[in-house]
Amino acid sequence: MSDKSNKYLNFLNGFADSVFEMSPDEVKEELAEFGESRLPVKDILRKSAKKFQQRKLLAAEQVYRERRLEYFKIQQRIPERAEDQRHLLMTILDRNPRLREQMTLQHRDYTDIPDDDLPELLQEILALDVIPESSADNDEGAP
Amino acid sequence: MFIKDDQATPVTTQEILTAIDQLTEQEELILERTARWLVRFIKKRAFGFEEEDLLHEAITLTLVGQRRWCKNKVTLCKHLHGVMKSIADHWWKSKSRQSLTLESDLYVETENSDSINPMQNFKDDEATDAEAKIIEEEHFAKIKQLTQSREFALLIIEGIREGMTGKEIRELGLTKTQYETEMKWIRRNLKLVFEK
Repeated sequence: MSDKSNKYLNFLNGFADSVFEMSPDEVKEELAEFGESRLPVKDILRKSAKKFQQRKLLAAEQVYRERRLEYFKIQQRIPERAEDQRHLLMTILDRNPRLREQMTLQHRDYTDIPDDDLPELLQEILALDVIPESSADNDEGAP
Repeated sequence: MFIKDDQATPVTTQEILTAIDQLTEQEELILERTARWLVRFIKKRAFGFEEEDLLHEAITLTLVGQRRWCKNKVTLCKHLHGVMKSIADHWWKSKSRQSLTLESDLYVETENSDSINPMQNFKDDEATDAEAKIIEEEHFAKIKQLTQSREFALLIIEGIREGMTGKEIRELGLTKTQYETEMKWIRRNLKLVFEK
């Protein structure tokens, strides 16, 4: 870690290490002799840890907000009527043969998907972000 | 700059928090003394950062995982002691306050809880510059003047400058008592040197 060729840093490190050679009484004696107020070490460390945890929490909240926004954006792209939803699904699958293959594997025949399942399915597909907005949206709501 | 110890077992935040709570009074004193000595040595190059900042930086880099604590090998006290030395080393070599923004404040946490250190590619300020050299020489001149009439003190100072440990210095011919007495004298007088 320390660069042994830098004598000043050797000095700095050597002195820092010498603290470990001091007995508890010596440490207290030095503290009293130097007239320095005691640092609230535990409090400083706890406060830093709390700050770190808050930062993690803020980052998580930011991710949550972004995902929520993304969810609502996708929701807006899904038509209200089941008929339109099915049409949108067909359009997407027509333009994405690989997706169609995967769908066929999962559902055998994707034309049999119940109306109630369509919004959730479309939500999942649109969230994959493989469908350019324009290509799906151009046909939204079209019979 | 800061080297990751990939061999270390990752420690959880909770484990670190528990270890903080379990620090003994003696360990707190050791950390305090370490922080005070390090800042005393680098004061003229610490650009306003103080003991609290050193402790804050050490624990934050540990929590972030940039300085991994091998809890099975060393105590938290010993670990933080080492991290503070490393940070002080870095502060001493930094050329400006701007380049010395607390590293822990710059960490970016990714979605996978990985930490990215945006400063890791900025190593060009690591070379000790001319100003640091001048301060080093000034300090050494004062220390030399201080110890010139004390043979053992001079021996110890020279040993530490060469990077020797306390044990290695004692092997040069000092008894434990002689070494401890002289170190005590050096500490007391060095404080005055750095305060001038």
